[in-house]
Amino acid sequence: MDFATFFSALESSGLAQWVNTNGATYPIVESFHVIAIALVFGTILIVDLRMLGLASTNRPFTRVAHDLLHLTWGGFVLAVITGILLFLPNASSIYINVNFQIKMVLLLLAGINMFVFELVTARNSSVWDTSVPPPNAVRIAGLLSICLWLGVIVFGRLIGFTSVADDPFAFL
Amino acid sequence: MIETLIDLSQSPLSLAMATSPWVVPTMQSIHIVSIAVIFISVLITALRVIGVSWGGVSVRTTATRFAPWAWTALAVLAVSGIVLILAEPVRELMAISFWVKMALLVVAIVISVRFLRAVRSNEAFAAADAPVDPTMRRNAIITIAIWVAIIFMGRFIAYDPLIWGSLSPLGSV
Repeated sequence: MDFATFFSALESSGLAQWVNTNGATYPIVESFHVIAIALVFGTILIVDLRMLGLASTNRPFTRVAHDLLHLTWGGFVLAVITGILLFLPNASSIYINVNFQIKMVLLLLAGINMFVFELVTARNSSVWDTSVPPPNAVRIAGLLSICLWLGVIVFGRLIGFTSVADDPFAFL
Repeated sequence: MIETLIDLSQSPLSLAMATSPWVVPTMQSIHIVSIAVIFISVLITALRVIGVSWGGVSVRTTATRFAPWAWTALAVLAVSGIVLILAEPVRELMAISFWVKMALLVVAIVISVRFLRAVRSNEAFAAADAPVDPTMRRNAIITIAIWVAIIFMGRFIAYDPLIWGSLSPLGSV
């Protein structure tokens, strides 16, 4: 089964039909997606700004990160579920949408940045937990994270704009 | 009102914004980022009042940490929102969802101003281990609910006739 067949099968699935035709379901799912974005980006921004040494500096990094971890992951799970529901009814046109593809790459890069930070840089977090500013490696990870997540939001919003779907950089 | 709004939508400024391929998506992206900042600022402050997050520091310190971010985000939301209204005045200003959103926003701002005034003047909020005040806890939960509703209403503007049925004036435009 090739991609085109697969995504068109998704489009005609019962779940896709339910999202698309069941009254206000689509806008309600979209609203939950916005709330999920606010939870994910908002909490990550607080942690990133602490990593940059620009805010919440009166609290240790691990305390800030630990406080927000549940909200971030809860928001992320909600974003994935609502995102899939929004994707299904238009699966075959969205998967070839350049903005969607860029969003997915940025999402992947944000994930890699986070894992590298967690597995390498944050291992000795006890050393710099209360340092202001934190070490450069930490600040770079924080800045990268903010930029990548901003990109995820911008290209996510662009998916819905067919005028820019073919070439998002046409205006340059 | 509808005639005035249609005239406004035909003004050179509105037409320029509506026909530009990037003004609306850019403003919407800025709007979403600002929603994230204001929602999380309100949420963390409210969760601190309730006593489940941002422990170890006082309610006053927490409010001082997040309030400037919330007010800045509100200003950015207003500016980007006004640009979005100018680009599509009929769709925005004729929508029931838009006016419900504005009414909820006024309530949220009044609650926040009163909360911040109390936090600044009452020394009880300066202690890191002060007990949770039941009225404050109730207001914190109401504030979170209002912001969730504001986000819903904001998204519903684009679907006004679908949400409100024949109540929406946009159904007959």
